[in-house]
Amino acid sequence: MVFNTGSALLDAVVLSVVSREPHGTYGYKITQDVRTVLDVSESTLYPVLRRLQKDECLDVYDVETAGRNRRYYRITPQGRVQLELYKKSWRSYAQSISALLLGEEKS
Amino acid sequence: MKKEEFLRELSELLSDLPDVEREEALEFYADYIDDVGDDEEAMRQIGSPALVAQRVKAGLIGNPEESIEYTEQGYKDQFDEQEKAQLTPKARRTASASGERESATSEEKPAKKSRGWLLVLGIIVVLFVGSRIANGVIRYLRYKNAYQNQNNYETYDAWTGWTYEAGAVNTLRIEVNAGNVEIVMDPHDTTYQIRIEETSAVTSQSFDGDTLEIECDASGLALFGDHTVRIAVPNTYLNRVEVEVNAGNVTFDHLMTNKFIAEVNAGNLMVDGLALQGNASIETNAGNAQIRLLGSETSYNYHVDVSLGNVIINGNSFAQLNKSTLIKNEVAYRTIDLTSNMGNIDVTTED
Repeated sequence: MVFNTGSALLDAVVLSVVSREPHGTYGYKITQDVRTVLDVSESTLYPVLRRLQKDECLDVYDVETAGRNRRYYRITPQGRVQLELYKKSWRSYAQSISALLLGEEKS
Repeated sequence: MKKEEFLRELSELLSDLPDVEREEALEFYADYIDDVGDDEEAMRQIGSPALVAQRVKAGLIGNPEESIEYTEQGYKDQFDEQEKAQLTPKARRTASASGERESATSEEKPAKKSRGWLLVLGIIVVLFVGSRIANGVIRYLRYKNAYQNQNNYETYDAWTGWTYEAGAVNTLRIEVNAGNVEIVMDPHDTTYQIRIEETSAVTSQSFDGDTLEIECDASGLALFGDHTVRIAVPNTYLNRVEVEVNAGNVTFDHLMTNKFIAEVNAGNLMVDGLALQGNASIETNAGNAQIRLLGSETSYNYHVDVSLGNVIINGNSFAQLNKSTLIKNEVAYRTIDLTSNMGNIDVTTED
């Protein structure tokens, strides 16, 4: 049995992962962190990061590390709002599904 | 495959994209390969240049919806499955064969049905009419339910009232003399409009230059019925939002603005999720204000003025008579003015 999820969940997970790093984080690290919960391949994440950047939920800046520039991603205030709303939607979604599927109490 | 080779192939495959998109992607993958440290291992993780190019392009057109599945083994990537299927011709043949079988059986059905076409037609008519009725009932229930739930954004389309383009509105001013006003934000809104639902509690709304002014007063209305005014704000930053609460309850379910100015003369103001790019000023002469700011406590400066009443920031009380306090934080570039002449101001922040 499989459950389909839309790209919104991936957006939410990526935003959440980036938001945990106050000084931002980079592509490889984001991929590793997301992969702890979702088995997505790297090539799925780049378009997500690019889109979130275009939607002004993330901004990017370069940091010099080991003689090269590494691109960092950081959450914007708008990204925080978006994440807030994702959390809220997720909470109500998860509750209704659990209530129906597992017979858990709706809080 | 070496890093340089991968990047060269990817660059070629993305040659039809705008320069900025191609360069962004190349930079990202160059970074990624460097961070993995080992070219071969990086290639294994990333996949072929062709796959990467396909996804970069797909991502630019739109989101491949439902590309991830949750299985007993955890989340799976459908794209990967598709790629694997393409790589093994046998799997593809099996898939297409079963597809053909399905289409064959579905073609048999209409042939049988044609014999009893009158009956079928009857069933169709009944189903059609039934579904229309059911649909109507569902829509009514949803509509009714949504009106009792301020968090349901889907109702925007059902609202009749006034709409204004967010880009044209510089200042949004809301004055509430009585009644309930709910201001909501749809996170997925793509219309970037300010919408005001038309009810008799909206006593005036005017758009002058770049200022949209809304006045609400439900005091003269009958006790029965719901006279809540609903306003939808866009999920983009407005330049300035001003709220004056003379009586009644005003709630914001998320607001994005550069400047926020609130005056509560009586009644209650609640802002659940305020995203600020500039300064805010909140003053209570009586009545209460409850503000949840997005961002950490130290990302703001606070200027607290208490005459009578109380100001609380994340549980810390500033209830001292006639005292003015300035809290400066090193990295903060936004200042929140909190003035309590009477009544309470309760501010919380959230990272």
